[in-house]
Amino acid sequence: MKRFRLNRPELLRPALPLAVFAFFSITISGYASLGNVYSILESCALIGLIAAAVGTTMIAGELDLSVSSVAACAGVIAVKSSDLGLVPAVLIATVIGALYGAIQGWWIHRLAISSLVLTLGTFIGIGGAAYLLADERTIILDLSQLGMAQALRERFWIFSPFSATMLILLLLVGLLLRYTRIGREIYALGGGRHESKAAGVPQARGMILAFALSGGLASLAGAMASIRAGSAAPGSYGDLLLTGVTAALIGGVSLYGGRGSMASVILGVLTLQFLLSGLALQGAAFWAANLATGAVLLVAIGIDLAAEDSPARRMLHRLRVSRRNQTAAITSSQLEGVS
Amino acid sequence: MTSQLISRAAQAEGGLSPGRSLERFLVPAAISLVIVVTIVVGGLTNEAFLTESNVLAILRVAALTGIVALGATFVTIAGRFFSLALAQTAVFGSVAYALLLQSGLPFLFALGMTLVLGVVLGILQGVVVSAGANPIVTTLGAGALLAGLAGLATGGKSLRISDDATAWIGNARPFGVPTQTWAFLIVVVIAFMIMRSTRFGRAAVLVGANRATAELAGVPIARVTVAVFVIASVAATIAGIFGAAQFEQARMSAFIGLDFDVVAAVLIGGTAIHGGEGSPLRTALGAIFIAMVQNYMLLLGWSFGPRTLVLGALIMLAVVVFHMARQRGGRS
Repeated sequence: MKRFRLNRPELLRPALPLAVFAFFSITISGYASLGNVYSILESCALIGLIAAAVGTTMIAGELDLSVSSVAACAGVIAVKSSDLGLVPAVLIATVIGALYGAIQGWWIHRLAISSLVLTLGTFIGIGGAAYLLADERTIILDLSQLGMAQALRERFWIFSPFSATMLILLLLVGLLLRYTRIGREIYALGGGRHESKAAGVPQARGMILAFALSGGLASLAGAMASIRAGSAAPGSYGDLLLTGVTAALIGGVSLYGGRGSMASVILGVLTLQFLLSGLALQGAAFWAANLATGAVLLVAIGIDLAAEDSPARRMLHRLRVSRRNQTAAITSSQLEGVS
Repeated sequence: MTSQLISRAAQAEGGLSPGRSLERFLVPAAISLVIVVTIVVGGLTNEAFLTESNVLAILRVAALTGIVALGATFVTIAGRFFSLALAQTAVFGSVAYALLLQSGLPFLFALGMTLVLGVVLGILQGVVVSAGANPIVTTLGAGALLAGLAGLATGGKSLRISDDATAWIGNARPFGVPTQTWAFLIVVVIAFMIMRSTRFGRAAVLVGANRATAELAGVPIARVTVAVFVIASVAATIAGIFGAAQFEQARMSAFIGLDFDVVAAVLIGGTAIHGGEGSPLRTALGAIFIAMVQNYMLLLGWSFGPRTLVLGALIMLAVVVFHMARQRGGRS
């Protein structure tokens, strides 16, 4: 099977964002300036945390559809509790989100229910809860607290506190997933649920941790982004699921579970945001982002399908083997007929 | 594992095990009862609820949600969860219809072309999904793409439609009942007949119940998958045409929340989320129930937040209750 290794992902993946970046650096003047890179990274912060949230559940072979509603809810909570200060406000929202995610993960494990279906319900319900919490209007950060918004976007070279937090957290989550026992259990849940269960891998705690991470990261993203913007609208972040899943898929996290890493999620996020900000700088209309993200997502699904251990590949392989066996059987029966 | 396979296969064949017949008669009875209770409570507590104009309004909304939900039922029964592209397909369909009419094509031709477009959209998504892609993520991407394309085609503006036949479709009331409701009834009958007495309907159930068994039994899984997405896509396109006809314009911002209402209708109708079970009739009842609840909350002056919260809670309730009932049924 080695000969099919045309697309070596570990080489291709870093090349992709670089290629997009190089393309726009040439076609748009000022695209490669430090100021613009700073603002691209700034826009990556929100998407990066969401992609990590969705990506963690994808690695566990599940999918948390509720991230955008959770982020909106957390944004409202953070702005509402901003009197306590920046760090406590963000922490409160994050902890609530992580707890909610843990409960959701426990339910999914306990009921043995499809996470797609359960989180579709919570996606709708939590979205309503965000409106209820915000009293149906956009909550605005108190004028005396506007310093917080500034603090989050303060520029250190090409980083801001927000984008630096995102990068550091993704690395930490990546280390957690790769090098701790419970992290490996999450991979095992996605790579082979039945096999891991038979081998005695605990099933509950990995699932709970994956969804707690998802809820916590999504809440952190929503809380920090809302404080940075100085306001939290309950209906915002509607497109986050789309961009988050797209970025995770470009980063090589498989929808079939068990495959992907946080380092490559960062690369996926960079690729998508380089593309989207390039389009925005060229003055594309609001639907162009939708068009581009949708197209990229479908291409990423196609690549995910063509990966070596995807169901489609396995089916093709089975088909080929059975056909070979058939022809072998036919020729042997013909031989018998002759003799 | 083997015994599980066999029991699920037996369920799919429609053998009259006690659990099966219970589901067949008890669930519709329960939904009907809930609907009757809602009517009585709604009528007693709010005098605007049972007025003729309000009932017609409910029927109209239920009809549009219901038509799309009937299409989506096939996707769910065949084990492909949901489509998250239905609202965008409806918008795309209404934009395409308006553009075709604006370019001077006759009514019937524009109608036919739009429906063909719906078929094509369904085929494309179905092919990707039958290759093994996750249906929810595929339709999420397809939906974004369709919304983007609709924006590209219209420049983000609403398109006016001035056509007599279209106006009739949108607002006429043959025998005092809105055209949408007639269409809903027709679609219910068609969906029921497809599910009950065609080979395709039975194949969809088997594919949803147990894909491995279906494959061994020689069911063309890919073809069934493409077909269910075509049905859902065409249903969404029909809703798009009705929506455009009703307001005599195609709007980018139309059909917001349609996907949620559709999911709610399908799940409250008790269609198994993992496929293999469900009926168009129950989905239709689910759609009527959702439309009634939404309308009642609107009459109470509830805003978007609480209404969405209630919808989410209803979905969760339906999912968990049906899931646990099935698990218990499977274990005993």
